[in-house]
Amino acid sequence: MSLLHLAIISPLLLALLVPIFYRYFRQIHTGWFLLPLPILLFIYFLQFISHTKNGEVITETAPWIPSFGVDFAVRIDGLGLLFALLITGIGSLVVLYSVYYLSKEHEKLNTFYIYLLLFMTAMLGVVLSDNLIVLYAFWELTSFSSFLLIGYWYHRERSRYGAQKSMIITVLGGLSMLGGILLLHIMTGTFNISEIILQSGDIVNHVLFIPAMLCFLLGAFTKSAQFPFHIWLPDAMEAPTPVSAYLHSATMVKAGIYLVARMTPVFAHDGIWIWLVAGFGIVTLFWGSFSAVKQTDLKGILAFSTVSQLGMIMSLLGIGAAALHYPQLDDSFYTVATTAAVFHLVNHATFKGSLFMVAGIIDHETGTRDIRRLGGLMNFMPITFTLAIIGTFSMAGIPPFNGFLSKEMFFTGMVRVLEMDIFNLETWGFLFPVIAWIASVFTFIYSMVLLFKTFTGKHQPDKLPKTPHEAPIGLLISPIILASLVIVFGFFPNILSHNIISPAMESILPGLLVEGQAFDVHIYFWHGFTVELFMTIGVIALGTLLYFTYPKWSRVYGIFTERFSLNRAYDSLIENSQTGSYNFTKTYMNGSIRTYLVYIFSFFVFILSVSLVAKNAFVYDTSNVSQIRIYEIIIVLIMAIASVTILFAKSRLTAIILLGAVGYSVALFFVVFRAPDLALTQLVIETVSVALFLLCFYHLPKKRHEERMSFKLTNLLISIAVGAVFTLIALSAHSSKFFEPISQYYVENTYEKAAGKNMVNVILVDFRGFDTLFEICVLGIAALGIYAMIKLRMTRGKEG
Amino acid sequence: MDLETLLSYEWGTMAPEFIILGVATALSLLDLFMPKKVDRRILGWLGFTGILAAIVALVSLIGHDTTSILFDTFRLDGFAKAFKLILLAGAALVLLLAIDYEPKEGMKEYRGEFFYLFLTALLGAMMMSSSGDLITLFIGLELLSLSSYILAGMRKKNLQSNESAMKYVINGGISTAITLFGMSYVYGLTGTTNLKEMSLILGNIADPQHVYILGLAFFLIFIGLSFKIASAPFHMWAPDVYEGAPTPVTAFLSVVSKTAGFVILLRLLLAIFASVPVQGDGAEPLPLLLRMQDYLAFLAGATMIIGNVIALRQRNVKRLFAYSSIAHAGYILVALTTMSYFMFDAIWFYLLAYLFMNLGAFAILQLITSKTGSEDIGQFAGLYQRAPVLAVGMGIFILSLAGIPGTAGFIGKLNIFMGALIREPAHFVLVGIMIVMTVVSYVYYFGLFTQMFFRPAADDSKLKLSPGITTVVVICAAATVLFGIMPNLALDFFHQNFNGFSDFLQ
Repeated sequence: MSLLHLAIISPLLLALLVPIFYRYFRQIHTGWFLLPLPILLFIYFLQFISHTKNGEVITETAPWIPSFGVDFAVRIDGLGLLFALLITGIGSLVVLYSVYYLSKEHEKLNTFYIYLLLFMTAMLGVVLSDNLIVLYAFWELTSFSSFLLIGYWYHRERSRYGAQKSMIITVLGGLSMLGGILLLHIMTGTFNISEIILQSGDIVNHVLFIPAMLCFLLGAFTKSAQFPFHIWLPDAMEAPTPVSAYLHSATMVKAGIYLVARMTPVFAHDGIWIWLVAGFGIVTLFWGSFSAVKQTDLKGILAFSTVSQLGMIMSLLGIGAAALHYPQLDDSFYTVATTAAVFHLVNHATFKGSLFMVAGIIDHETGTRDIRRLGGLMNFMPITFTLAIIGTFSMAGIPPFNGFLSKEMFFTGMVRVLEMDIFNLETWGFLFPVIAWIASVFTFIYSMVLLFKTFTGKHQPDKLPKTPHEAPIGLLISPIILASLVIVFGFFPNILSHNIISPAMESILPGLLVEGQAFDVHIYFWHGFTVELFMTIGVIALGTLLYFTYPKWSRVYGIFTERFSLNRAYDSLIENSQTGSYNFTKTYMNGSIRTYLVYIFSFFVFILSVSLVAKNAFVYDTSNVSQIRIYEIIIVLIMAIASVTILFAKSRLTAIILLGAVGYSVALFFVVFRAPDLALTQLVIETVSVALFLLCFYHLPKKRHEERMSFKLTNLLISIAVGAVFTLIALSAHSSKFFEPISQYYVENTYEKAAGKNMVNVILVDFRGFDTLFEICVLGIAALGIYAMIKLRMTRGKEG
Repeated sequence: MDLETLLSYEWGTMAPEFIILGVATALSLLDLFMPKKVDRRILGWLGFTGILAAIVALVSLIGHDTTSILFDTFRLDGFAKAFKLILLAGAALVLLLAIDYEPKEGMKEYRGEFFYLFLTALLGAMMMSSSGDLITLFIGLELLSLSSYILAGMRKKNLQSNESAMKYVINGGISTAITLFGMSYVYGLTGTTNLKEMSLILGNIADPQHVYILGLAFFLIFIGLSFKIASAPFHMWAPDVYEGAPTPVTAFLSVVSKTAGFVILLRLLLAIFASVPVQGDGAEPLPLLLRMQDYLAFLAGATMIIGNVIALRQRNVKRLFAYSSIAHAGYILVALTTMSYFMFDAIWFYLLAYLFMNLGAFAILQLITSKTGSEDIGQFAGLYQRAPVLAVGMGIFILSLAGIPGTAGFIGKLNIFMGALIREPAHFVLVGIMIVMTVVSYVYYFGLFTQMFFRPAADDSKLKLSPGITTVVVICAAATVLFGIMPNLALDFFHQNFNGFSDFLQ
């Protein structure tokens, strides 16, 4: 346990104190007590920059389950640190924002902050642990805390729906990732990420390499809301806005990005990785921005925008990984995509965080987030309006904000795909810049929709639940800080380049560097009149045009009817599995023991007959069989006739008597085979059981004669099959003899050892004397019991 | 057998069994002679003390060498010790639940029987885990089964309880018949009932015809025993019986009885079928048990699918837990199927984790259902508002049952995954089914979770906690989290004291 471990679990420890704060300091908003922790952690992590800048990696290990090779190993390198700073930095701002956003009178602050702190620990654990099992554990914890936070306003139906949806989808991916982790373990024999990376060259040709990669990607894609798994993210917007800003925009949804970045050194040697990561990313980018335009809910726009931006970062990571296949090239030619990915990751956190907070402010002050009811707010909320301008312009990629810089780099990365000649990229690679450009146009449009539909146009006071006015300063602090960062990073991007971006790239693409070398990242505003610049100009021009002509082309969205949407598919999957389960239960588990026996016996007969046939186990040996005479044939006929007649017997009495007939025929068999003692026993047993049957049936309700037993083919088949299979098994068993039968022993010894002439008697009273004795005891006890019961009944009868 | 040999046995190795037997006998006598007015709960506490004493006796035997007495019919090996610990701990917790059990119609005159029937059932289970002979194994099984049949029907005035006992007896009888039939084949082939001798004789078996018959016997025994662990194809009884039986009995059936089922399954399969060499396509003959892996895998897969899929639509919580317990039996069967090096660790740990998480859940279930008499899932609505601590406890158990990291259930599942994948060839399909079914199980586990945390309570009355249930919940929650965060406590204990069951057949 080191200080680093403590830093990771400190939010969890603080969470234990939250109920105390909440109960005993009701007057003070609980959030104030929490605020110092993320700030302290942020400062704590900041000091690691001086280490990671020089390519140092700090690792600490605490033993956890040594028998599996699972240690709580934590590691701070450029990538982990970048995320840790995001988590704690945005975390501080979100806590501050939530203090003003959530009312201390009306909300259950204790649960909110417990969940939030739980998430903080989980997220820090994901990005800092060096052991895949530990990473997985924290990964699931993030899904779980997200589930709790989305369902925070549990009285809303949509919240519960969103919570469950996000849980099911992300956890599905999580488990798939666990599968990938185990496959990697099989290949490398370790769970330690650093060690796996060292072995990455050896496992490329392993047969499990591709399955493991697919498992990991499923985990990353579900978590980072990549198409077609993105459907949970818009529904997750039911969470309180601070949560959306924090989990569903800045941190948790980036865990998938983190995973892809982290595993790039392991998997990127294969072209499939590049195609899948870049391909899914670019499709998500397009689909997200395209869908965002038609949204009418502010948070809906932001949700799809997040989806699209995540896709953008994902595709950049995929393209950047191609640099591994061109080690001879100048190191910034293809790695520029990776630089863009890391840079945009930071930028997205800043502008999207501020936009979410702005949306929260609008919701808070006007009572609605529907852009059809909003409008003309700029006169009422000038500061919020300014913040929104900064955020949306940055998102749309307009200078001089940081979004412009990363968008330019994104274009650079995509354009350079054209020059790749591996893995068929020379044929289909041109799609990347094209889709990227189209998607950027839509990004521009929804950014403008977000800004202008809300703040300009006609004010409609009658449609708003509240009279709008500027937000209190507390709510504004956090977005102001973020918006200032948008500008600062826009003008001075090189603050980040050496401290954050270059070390992070080093973790993503370690193979490209020689010992002691570092990526040389420089970000400029002005590149001259390059392709990228013209692309940007084109985006703005076409975007503006489309924005104003939106009513004319909005019918495009009608093509994709609700009927075939992914959401519909998810809903019907859930619904059908429920009804399917219900129907299955109704027919299969209907509570009737007869049905159960049908299943059990059919299964039983099936597996036994299959193995009889498959293993060729049936043997039939006639050497021990005696002659069949007319007596036996007659008896068998009688038995068969009696058995069949039972089925058609009208009254119970007839059935019992017929059953008796079968039993007595068996006794006859014994007589024919000269075993009088057995015959006698059989006769006695048969008589007793018939008598008992009659006794029982006497008490049963009368059978109605019109009620005929219906013919059930399945039952007939099953009973015949059971009989047949058992006959076959018995025949096979009888035909394979392994030892001398024990009877010979009695034949030899009955007279000599026991001096008896009747063998059966000797066996009963001598060889197996104890058995007989105990049997008698048991019978005696049973008789006593019956006697006691009868007596009890009689006395009770007298009393009654 | 003369007196001298009788006395020469190391009877001390049977101390835990003797304690349970003695306490059970004493309780039945006390119950008979105690005045009617005296509250029978005192008997429950006596029984609980007895189990604790047995645990102490067992713990003191842990260092003891592997011994067997009575011509190898009773063995005290690592296997027996390890599983007896689980059985005893489970029974102790169940007894605490039973003491607090109070059905609507009351159970005054039967309460005494309730306690000592638990003890006799426990005794049967313990005998099973220690026996080295088919006869004792079977007697243990029947002692457990017969006691359970009566326990299931303990609420004599309750129609459901009667139905449950009836179904249990009929299904149980059929399964026992099938098991016995299979056992008789094995006996027929070897001429002995002693497991050790059997394994020696079967090790030299050469005739392929005999191997086929052994294969049949394997199916018969396995199908028969699948009743005890409530796996396919003999799982149907579980929901009906679980629903009708008194809650502590349900808890007993789903934990102690299931553990005992796995005990007998392991004993029989490994002792008998693991030693039969079968000449396969390869040069090396493989044990019959490994040849049967595909069939076992099929059954494990079917069990997981049936249990989880049907559970989706259950509104009755006890039935829900019945299906969930079927699913869990499927998970453990995966470990059995793969027969990896980690098989024993995985099964033992999973059963341990399952013991705590499931009993904890049943404790809360008993508390909530007994108040209203309804077992609808809606009874859990708003539990967080009514009793936050209980809701958090139940939350822990559900998370663990679902296999979320940080709980013992996750470590158990991870163990099974690792075992299944570490084998050559790895069981990808089975692991795939298990993963998908785990996701399916999230739907109903989190449905319950949603009820507790996200739904408004139907009535706001506070729940009254009784000491027994509180103890069970606290112990179970603590253990679930503890073994989830520090599984090494259990795993190291297991490795240090039981040597990975290397003495299984010596």
